[in-house]
Amino acid sequence: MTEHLDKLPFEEYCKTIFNKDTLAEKPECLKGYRGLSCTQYILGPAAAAYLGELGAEVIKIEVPRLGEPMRHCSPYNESWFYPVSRWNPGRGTSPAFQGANHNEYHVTLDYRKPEAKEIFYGLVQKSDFMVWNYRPGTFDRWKIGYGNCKEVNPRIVLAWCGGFGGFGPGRNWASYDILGQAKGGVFSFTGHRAGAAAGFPSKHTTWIMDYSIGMLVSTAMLAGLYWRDTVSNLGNYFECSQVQGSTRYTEYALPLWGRTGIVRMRWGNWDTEICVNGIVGCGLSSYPHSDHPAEKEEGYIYVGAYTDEDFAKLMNLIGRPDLAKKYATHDDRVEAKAQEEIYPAIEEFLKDKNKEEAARIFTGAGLVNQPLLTIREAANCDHFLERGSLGWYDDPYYGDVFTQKTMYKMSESPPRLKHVHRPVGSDNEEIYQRVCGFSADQIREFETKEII
Amino acid sequence: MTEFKVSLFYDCPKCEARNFFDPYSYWEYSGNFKCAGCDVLYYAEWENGQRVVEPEAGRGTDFILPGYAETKDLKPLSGEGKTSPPPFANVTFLGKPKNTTVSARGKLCACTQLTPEDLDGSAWKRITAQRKYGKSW
Amino acid sequence: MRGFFLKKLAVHADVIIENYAPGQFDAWGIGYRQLSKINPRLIYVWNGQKGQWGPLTDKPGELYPSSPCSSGWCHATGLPKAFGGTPIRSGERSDDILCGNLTAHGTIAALIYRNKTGKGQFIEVTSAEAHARIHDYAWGWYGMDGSSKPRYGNWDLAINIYSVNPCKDGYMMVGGGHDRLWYRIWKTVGKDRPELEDMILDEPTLRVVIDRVGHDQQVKTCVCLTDWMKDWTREECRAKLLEEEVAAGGVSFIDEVAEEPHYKYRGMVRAIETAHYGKVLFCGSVFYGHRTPGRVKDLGRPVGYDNSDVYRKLLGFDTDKLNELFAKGLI
Repeated sequence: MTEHLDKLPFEEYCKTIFNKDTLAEKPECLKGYRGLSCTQYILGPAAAAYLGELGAEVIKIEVPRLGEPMRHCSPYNESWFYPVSRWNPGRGTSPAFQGANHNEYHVTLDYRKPEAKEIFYGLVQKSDFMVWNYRPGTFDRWKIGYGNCKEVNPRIVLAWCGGFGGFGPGRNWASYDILGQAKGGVFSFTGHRAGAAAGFPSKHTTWIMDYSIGMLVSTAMLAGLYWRDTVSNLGNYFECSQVQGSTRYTEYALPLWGRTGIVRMRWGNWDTEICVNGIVGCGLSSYPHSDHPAEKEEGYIYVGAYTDEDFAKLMNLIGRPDLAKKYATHDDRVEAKAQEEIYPAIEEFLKDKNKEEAARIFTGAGLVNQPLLTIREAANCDHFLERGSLGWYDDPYYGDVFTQKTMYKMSESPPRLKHVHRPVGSDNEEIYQRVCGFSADQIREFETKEII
Repeated sequence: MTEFKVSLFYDCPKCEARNFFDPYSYWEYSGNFKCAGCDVLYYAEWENGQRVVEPEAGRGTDFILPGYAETKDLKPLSGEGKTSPPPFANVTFLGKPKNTTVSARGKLCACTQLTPEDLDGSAWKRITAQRKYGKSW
Repeated sequence: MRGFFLKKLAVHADVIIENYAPGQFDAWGIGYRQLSKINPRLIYVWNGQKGQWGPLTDKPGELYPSSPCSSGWCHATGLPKAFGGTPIRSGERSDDILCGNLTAHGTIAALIYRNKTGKGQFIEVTSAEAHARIHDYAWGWYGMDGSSKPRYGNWDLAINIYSVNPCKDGYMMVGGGHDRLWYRIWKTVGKDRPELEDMILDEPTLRVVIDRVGHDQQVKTCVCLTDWMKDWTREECRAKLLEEEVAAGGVSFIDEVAEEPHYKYRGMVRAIETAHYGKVLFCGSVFYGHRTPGRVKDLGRPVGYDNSDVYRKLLGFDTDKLNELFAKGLI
């Protein structure tokens, strides 16, 4: 087998070992680990879901009957997957829920009921990790916080995540993704430059802070599990503040301010460190006869030509050899004034072309480029479909869905998608019987009393 | 108590329509806007969100549209040529649950409101009927 | 000579991370399939924009923002055209953020797998896929009826109010999608501008949470909110909203972030003494662990600083050998 692989050209080799069609035949990294996700929105759920993607058995605990709020926020109120639960078949779950809750078992529990505590301990005893993102102190009040869980199961790895952390004068400030972007500093230098679109900053299109800090929390839990299993046999507790991650992402801005007092500002679609490396607008739409709003707008394209030769090539291509001479070295062209002359010149050249034509011209000249794809185009892009990052999926609960599939590729024990999410409480019977040992009668009783 | 001036909406004296000015387009704007109720052009100036020149007769023929507008009894006046177009995601805009039993490529999907009779456990009967080997994965 | 050292170092390495052009290391004889023969326990991670294989394989020299452009991310970020906007890339390099995080994640997952089986593996972390992976409802929405998620500036397609709007001295984030917070926001506004609160409360299409997401409703809501905020600074708005326990915060510039008392208290922003660069203002480790906290020990060193340390310890090179290699320009 390996001899055959050794002889393949590199791209074929990668395609074979990362083949999306053989994922299910390969073992899972985290098989045998079980965890609890007592979370809502995106920050906490994502952390647990990344581990579910690697094969851990993740149990999501939600409020009975209607589940957590993320199920109920749908863009334009239009798209929903039904039922949200068997008690509420007329309500649905929004697709916003599927990014951070896939592969999980879903149970319900009302923490405020006195009997819930013992049921919860039953789950904690059998779990390897738990993540939660309720406000600091809430779980302690209900006697299911770190102190209590540690007693019940000294080997459990716990992770709490929230906006501003569990301690400090600001610990009770609410946690929202764009608040994290705003207070962390990244928001202030993303967006239009002063003088364009009133210099508005822009938030990222989706909750990048929540998702990416979720990755960090997830990594912390993995590290805790690794340390427990190789070194100490002890559980652990991690606390993570989302805004801190956001500040960490400001790259050179903090050291720059610390050293020189310069405050980093917005620079639009251009780059503060490399020129030419930015996004420019084309004049024409790629689908001039389409009715679909996503297709009517004119196109945009990313172009990278930052070495001296590539830059000269690009300037000659657009009919401005004078700029190639004027900004022959990189130090010259990375200056703000230079960029303000160069990029509009490129856009002038593209004013009567659409993005596919621009791509053809740039590629033909050997210049790195990438047209900006709309969601529609990206969803139909062979690159993602062949690699299995996106695609149609026959979900066992919701039928034919289009979804994101895996976060990265591994050759031996790859992450994989099993189902996009499930209705609220769909696994109550199975989990409470199998994991906690309750009988069917007891479970029915809990349900009648609305404990679950 | 300090007097706070209204800046981002305006009641047209001619037709009594209330025009709303979205902060993106109007925060630092000097120029005409077109009333959504009666198409009259008004000139005004905004600086840092404060309306420093109140609406007066329009100057020239260029204009931008308000973000939203409504009549005195709260009936919307938005639409093409009246207010700036919203970013559409699709050819039609519904603003409420779009019930469908097939996905964008025409296969069965559970995107339609259900009743208790439609359920098999926690899932739609038609989906579970499609599965060959029962409910577990 | 090329790859000679890496082959020798590979014996000692648990993890190798590289982000050269696709296939480069393989062509040099030091790719995963060659090194895994020397060390079957090796975990090898490749980072890149769009991938080592597939129709859009990375070209040499391809940089950020190529990956979010290809995955629909950039197109969906920024102000809508109707508001004078264009697609926008993020100020920071979001590929670094996502790939970096996922590389750490995948590496530890692979280490756990290796504990059980003794086997290393090849991991490919691609920025375009990471962006697509976290793009939340865009794909599910597309699958349902072909909708293509549009840019919506600083407002949110699925929640109202959840947006950033300008105020007297900058921009202000206010969040309150549910009734509990919605009414408190308007109560705060109503203390200064009762007529704005009335406008919102009288509007029938703003009564039910899920009805509030329509574009007309968002415009009306944000206009009323911003008409109030235009007279107050970020700190003033925030203080007033906090009285009613509403989530709000101003968009902070980096100097304000550095001086925020809460961050200093937590050690989030701190001056780190480095061996080579003096005191550097930096952000502390995100991992506050009870038993195993994360820590930032050093912030990089000059190129080649650790040559003698690493090569001596791991490969047994002595001073003469190192000088010879240095003279030849190999290290």
